[in-house]
Amino acid sequence: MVRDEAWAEWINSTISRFEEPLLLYALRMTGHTEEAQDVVQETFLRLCAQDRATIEGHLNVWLFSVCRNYALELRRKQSRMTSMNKSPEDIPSPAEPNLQEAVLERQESVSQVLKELATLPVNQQEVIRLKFQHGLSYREISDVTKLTVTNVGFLIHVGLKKIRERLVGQSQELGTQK
Amino acid sequence: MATPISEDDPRITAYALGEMNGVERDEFEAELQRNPALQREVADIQAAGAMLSAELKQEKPLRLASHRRTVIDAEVKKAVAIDLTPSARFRLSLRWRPLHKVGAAAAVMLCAAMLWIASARSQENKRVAEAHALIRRLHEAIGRYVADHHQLPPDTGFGLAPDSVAQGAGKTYDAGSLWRCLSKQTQENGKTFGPYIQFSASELTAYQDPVKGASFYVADPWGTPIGYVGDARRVVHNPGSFDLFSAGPDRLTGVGNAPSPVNLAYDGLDNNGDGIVDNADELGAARMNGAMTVACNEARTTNAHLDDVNNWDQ
Repeated sequence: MVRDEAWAEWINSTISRFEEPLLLYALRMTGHTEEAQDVVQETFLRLCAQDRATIEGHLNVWLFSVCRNYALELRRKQSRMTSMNKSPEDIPSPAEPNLQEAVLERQESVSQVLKELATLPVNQQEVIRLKFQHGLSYREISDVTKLTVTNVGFLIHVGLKKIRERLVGQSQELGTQK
Repeated sequence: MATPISEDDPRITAYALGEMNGVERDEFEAELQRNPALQREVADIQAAGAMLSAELKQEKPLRLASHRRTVIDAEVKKAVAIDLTPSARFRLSLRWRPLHKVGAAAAVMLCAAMLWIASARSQENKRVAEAHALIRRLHEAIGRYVADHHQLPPDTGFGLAPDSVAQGAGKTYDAGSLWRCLSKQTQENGKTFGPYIQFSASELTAYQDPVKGASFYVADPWGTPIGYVGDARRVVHNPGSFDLFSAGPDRLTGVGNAPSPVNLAYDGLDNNGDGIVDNADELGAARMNGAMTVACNEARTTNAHLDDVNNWDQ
């Protein structure tokens, strides 16, 4: 592997292209801005150590996978640290509302669609965001999350259905109030 | 179809989001033709997907903190420096020894040529960056338009002459749609909508629309109309949403990609006579060999292909 100016340019263009989507993804995984920054920095440092030829063609899947694995690793470490000081029932699950609140409080006005999305189980939120926010295919989402393609399809179908039903329910409620 | 489809069947969502292929897709489409309830379900899923996609893309952007970027930049510099150790530099310098035998005039000419190439490349890179920014602004503006109007602006009929009266099986394409729908303020039922974007003079090209009169279409930095595919039957890359692209430096879509030597994806023709201009089937080889997708992955840094600049690979 040659690390020359062209390689450095490739790294820079990859950072420009993926910095924002990876930070958004990491924020959802960790629930904290500073940890999300840690995760994405580490992802790009690992990119620098990786042979370009082995990841080109599936660069987005590689980056999202590394980002996800490191975020999970960080979360596990923190759970262990917390468990030394707290009893197990005190440890918040990453799927609990504190994560959703941390994410939502960034946004000045959150649309109803996004509010409904935030109420879904974390695994449904994750695959829906990978699909509709980051444009990954079912196959790519399966590679990132290690779920089967069928499972990815099921989670997206169920999540989308819940959002649609709740939005329809709300618009009907508004209609009857009028 | 082998098994009947209920509304809880994930295959409906897979089809609506363009995730179904081959025999399964053919069988599903046959069932779709016969089943109006299924058609409504597919349309509802696509509308929900478009809304979700538009809302998610409006979330506040995040950037790496500058001190973290500095750490990464230092790592990159270190890696380049290690690869260019004194012995490696010596080996590289040997390659250029014959240059010492070349006269000074030749060296000056070489330098001038290199400067000219660098300047041309820098100009071209600037245009590519402008195209990326324009696509991003348009994508966001269309998302805001959809959130207000619950429908996409009319398809611009990319590939057609702007002043042609084109019909797509009941749909009129409007070359000035992006300018008309996104850059003007409108009043509907006492509510004010837009403008969703402001265009600079260099982004707009005047033309005479046969239906709506004096109009503008949105052009990319090379002067080609921006490709906006909002007719659901023509959308290839963002099923349930819309495709947006610039034809790039070569001003042509999907040219020079293997295995076919020339692919004019979106040539503006109704090739199979079904009344729809350049639908997914008519893109044929250009679509099947990945001309609109592979090129952008392979050639991102070389700007050799137009489809670097689009809303499915930004």
